[in-house]
Amino acid sequence: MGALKPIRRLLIANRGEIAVRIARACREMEIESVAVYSDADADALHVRVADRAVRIGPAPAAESYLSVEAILSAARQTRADAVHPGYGFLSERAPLALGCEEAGLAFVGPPATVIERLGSKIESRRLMEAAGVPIVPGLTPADQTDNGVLSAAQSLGYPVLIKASAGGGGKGMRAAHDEIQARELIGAARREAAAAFGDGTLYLERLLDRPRHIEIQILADEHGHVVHLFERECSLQRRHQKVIEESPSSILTDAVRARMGEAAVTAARAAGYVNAGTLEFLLEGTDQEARFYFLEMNTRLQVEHPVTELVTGVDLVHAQLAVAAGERLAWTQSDFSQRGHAVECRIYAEDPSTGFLPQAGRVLLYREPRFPGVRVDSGITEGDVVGINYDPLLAKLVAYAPTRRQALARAAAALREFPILGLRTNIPFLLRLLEHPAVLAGEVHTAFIDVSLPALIPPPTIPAAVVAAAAATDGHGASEEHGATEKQSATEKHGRTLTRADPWSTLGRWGR
Amino acid sequence: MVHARPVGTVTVADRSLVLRHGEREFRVTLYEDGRVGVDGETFHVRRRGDGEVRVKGDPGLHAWVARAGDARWVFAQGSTFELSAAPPSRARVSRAGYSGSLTAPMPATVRRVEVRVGQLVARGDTLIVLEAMKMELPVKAEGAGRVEAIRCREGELVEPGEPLVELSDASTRSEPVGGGQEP
Repeated sequence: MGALKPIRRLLIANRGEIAVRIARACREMEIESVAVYSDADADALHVRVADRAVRIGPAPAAESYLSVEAILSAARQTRADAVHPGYGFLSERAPLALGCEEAGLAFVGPPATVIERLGSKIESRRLMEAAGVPIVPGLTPADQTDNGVLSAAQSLGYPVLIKASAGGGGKGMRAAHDEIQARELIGAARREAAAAFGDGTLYLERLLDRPRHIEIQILADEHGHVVHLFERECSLQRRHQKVIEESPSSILTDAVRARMGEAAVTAARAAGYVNAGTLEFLLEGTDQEARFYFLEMNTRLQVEHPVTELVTGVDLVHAQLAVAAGERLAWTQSDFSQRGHAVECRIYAEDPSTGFLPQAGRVLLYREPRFPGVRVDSGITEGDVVGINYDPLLAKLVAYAPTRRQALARAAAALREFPILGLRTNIPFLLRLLEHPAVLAGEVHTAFIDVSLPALIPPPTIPAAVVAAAAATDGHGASEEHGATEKQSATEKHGRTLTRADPWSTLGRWGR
Repeated sequence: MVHARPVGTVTVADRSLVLRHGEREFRVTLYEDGRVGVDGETFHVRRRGDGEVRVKGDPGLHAWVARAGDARWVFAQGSTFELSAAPPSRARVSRAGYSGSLTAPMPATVRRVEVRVGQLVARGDTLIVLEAMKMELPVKAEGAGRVEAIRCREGELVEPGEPLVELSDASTRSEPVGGGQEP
């Protein structure tokens, strides 16, 4: 039973859109926010919106955002009383949570022991199995040599998924359909795992037949209350990186939804979980035939949390901070319902027509769309420089509407009015995806993007009218007209200033 | 090219320029009255100060534009277009022979150099492994050839267009080719 420990100053151990989103929640809750930044981010939006900012190191993440010591020392230096890790970086690393516990800081997440337990694929699977939650067949080979991993894959049966034992989010994850492929992929998977998580241990899992990725959001407080906030469907992934997420899922029956929710709550209880977390499941089959398997638990806020916020009306960051302050959850399970439909599109700095190569450059023009029911969580503004040091996620566009069909149409309309110039983004790809017949029909699975890729890549053609538009930046003709308007409005402004009734000039005598 | 002609008491000019998009080149004429000609087709273009552009027509086009140096950027109908006002670059890599230089497609760190000078490589062989944003990006040979030179070192940060490896066609005598491979 924790006592109340109000948060007055929160250090946000992250960058980009999520750091901005958390800083804004702080503003609403009258909590002072402290941003941290590397040399690459000294002028970044997340630094500008926070109340204070501390430099934590050079551009490479390993020496800044991934340094527990740098984060803790920034917290000490600014006398913060709590740390929010966001997602990615140190959010699922037990040492940060432990360091916070030892320094008397509230960590906005579960206890270090819980992170450690759920972060290990072996441990978490054992835990879920014991709690009666179904799991995907898989193992971490005891013998981690190439041959050891290969013989483990053989015993599991192909196709198998090779992934980092330490990580989540698809980094270092690869599918092998036979031994020849597996032999080729092990080395790169191990190196990527080591580079991204500092641990090259590999984990193998049986690949299911066109499964859907469905996850359940849970909230737990320190007083033993656990609730779930229904599902998010994240089946639209490219190489295991989520691209479009929505809630509710178009496939779940109420009965399956209820069973998944119960399983998630049971699992969270069994783990002694506290704060916001997500149980990821793979779902095979449809309707009554649907079977779900526990995949992993993410012990942090998810990138796609806004879709849950829109359909349930719960602000998850507010809830996280309340739980970290020792408060009780303000709800019981029966308080929640799903209302309407929300869809999130992740806008990445990557070029769909060159194999999704990450892009870098200065943002020459950036305009967020304004639509009813559209939310944009962004980490950039016009004039910012997007570099290559970190994840290429620029912003998230989330559309909310009464029905799924309307939400998808709203997202597409809003994306067409979301110009980002100066670097290429995946917006053209997102549009093709949103308007694909299979996506409109809700008939998708986790490999859908990879197998449908050719239809999702924009053609390299350019209409002549677009060339004419491009020439507008050179044109004197077009700008002449604009110049005239400008001159005219200047005169107007000037004129207004002269004729406007100035309260001081029209003041009468002071009365006595 | 500038053609000046007197109109009334002031001199105005129609300007022409070439805009390139990928391999395609467009002859563009900017008329003094605000019209824009593209390869003979004429458009009425109205530009606002905030980068918004409307091209009249049926249907019209609503776009946003920006420029930086030679680059011209357009966002229209949900697509991003990057054009260039630069004069055509030096000769491109001949696609028939696989000689020429392989360049970095993006800013990245050279993780590994997997070949040596003089080595014969086959199509699809990995020459260099780049790393950016925690992902490995192999640079592969487009065809069989011989490694003539290696222009980068492991651990080095490379920029887009920077040559990484020079390859020559192993089967025929190759002529030196400038320019870079399309990213």
